[in-house]
Amino acid sequence: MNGDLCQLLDDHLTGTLRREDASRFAEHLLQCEDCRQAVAMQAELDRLLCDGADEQPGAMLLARIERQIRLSRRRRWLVTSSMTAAAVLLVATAAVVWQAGERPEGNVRSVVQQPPVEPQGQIVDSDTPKTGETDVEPPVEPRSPVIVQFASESRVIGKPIPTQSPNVSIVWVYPEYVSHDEQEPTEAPPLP
Amino acid sequence: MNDLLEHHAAAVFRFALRMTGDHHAAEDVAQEALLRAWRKRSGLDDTRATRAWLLTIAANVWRDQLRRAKLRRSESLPADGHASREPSPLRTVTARDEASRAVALMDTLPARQREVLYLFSCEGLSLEEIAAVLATNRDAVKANLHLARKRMRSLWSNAKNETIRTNQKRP
Repeated sequence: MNGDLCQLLDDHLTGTLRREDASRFAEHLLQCEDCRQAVAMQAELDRLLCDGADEQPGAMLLARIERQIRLSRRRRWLVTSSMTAAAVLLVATAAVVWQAGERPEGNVRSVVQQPPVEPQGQIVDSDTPKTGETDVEPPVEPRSPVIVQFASESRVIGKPIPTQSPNVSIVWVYPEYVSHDEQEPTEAPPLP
Repeated sequence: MNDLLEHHAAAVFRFALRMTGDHHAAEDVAQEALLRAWRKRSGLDDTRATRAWLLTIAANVWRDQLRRAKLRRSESLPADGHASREPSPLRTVTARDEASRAVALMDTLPARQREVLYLFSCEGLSLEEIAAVLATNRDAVKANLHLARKRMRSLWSNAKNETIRTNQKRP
C-alpha cells in the first residue's frame, strides 16, 4: 500500500481530488488492492444507505401539518382583520377629535355664510320694504272704528289729539252749546 | 405548499430520524420544520435549493429542541458534542436485509458524522450545502465525512466477517 497515495482515498471518494492527483490516484488504484477494496465497499455502502434510508413518516404527519397550516392561516386572518378594524376605529376617532378641535372656526364660517335673519315678529312679504331700505313707517289703519252716536239734535265739535302711537286715536268731543237767545257758541268743558 | 410538503416531507422526516434516532421525535421535528418553512416560504428565492433549505430548518429545529430540553447526551464524544447510539435490539432484529443493516450501522455513528454521511450519500448534497445545513464549515464537513466513511467501512467489514463466522459455526 502506497501510503502517500492512499491518503488521497477519502478525497477520491468525496470527489474533491485535484486534477493532477486524480490521475495519479487512478494509476494507484490499479496497483493497490486495499484502496480498490475500500472504493468498492464504499460504493456498495452508499448504495445500501440510499436504499435502506427510505423510512416514511406516519400517514398522519401531512394531515397534521396541513391542519396546522389552516389554523395558522385562520389565526393570521383574524389578526389582520382585528388590526384593520382597530386601524379604522383609530382613524375615525382621530377624525372626530380633529373635527371637534376645528369647531369654533367652522361655526364662525357658517354664521358668516348664513343670510341675514329678519327680526322676529315682523311680517315680511314682497310688498314690505326691507329693513334699511327706508325709514318711513307704513300707515296703520284702525282695526275697529269707534262710532259715537249723539242725539240727532246734538251738535258737537270733534278735535283730534296727536298721540305717540299710530294705533291710538284720541278725539276730544265738545258739545256745541246753543243759547236760547242765539248767542255765539262757546266751548264747554270736555267730556270724558 | 402542498407540493412542497408532498415532495420533501419524507426527506425531512428521514433527516430528522437520522438526527433524533426516534420515530416520534423525528415526526415532531419534521412537522415543526415544515411549518416553519411554510411561514418563511417567502424567503425561498431559489427553488433548486429547496431541499437543502428545508433540511437546514430541520437541523435548526432539532438544535432548538436540544437547547430547550437540554437533551444533549452526556457521553463523551467528538468535538461537536453529539453522541453516537448503539443499535437498538429492535433495530438489530428487524434489520433483515443488507440495506437495513447498513442504515443500522450508520445510526451508530456519532451524530455529526451520521448527519454528514446521510446528507452526502443519501441526499446528494455538496460539502458546501451540508456546511450550510449544519451551520458549520466545509472543512469540518469534509473531516466528518471522511471519519464517517472510514468507520462505516470498518463496521461493515466487521459485520460481514461476523456473519461469515456465524454461518460457519452453524451445523
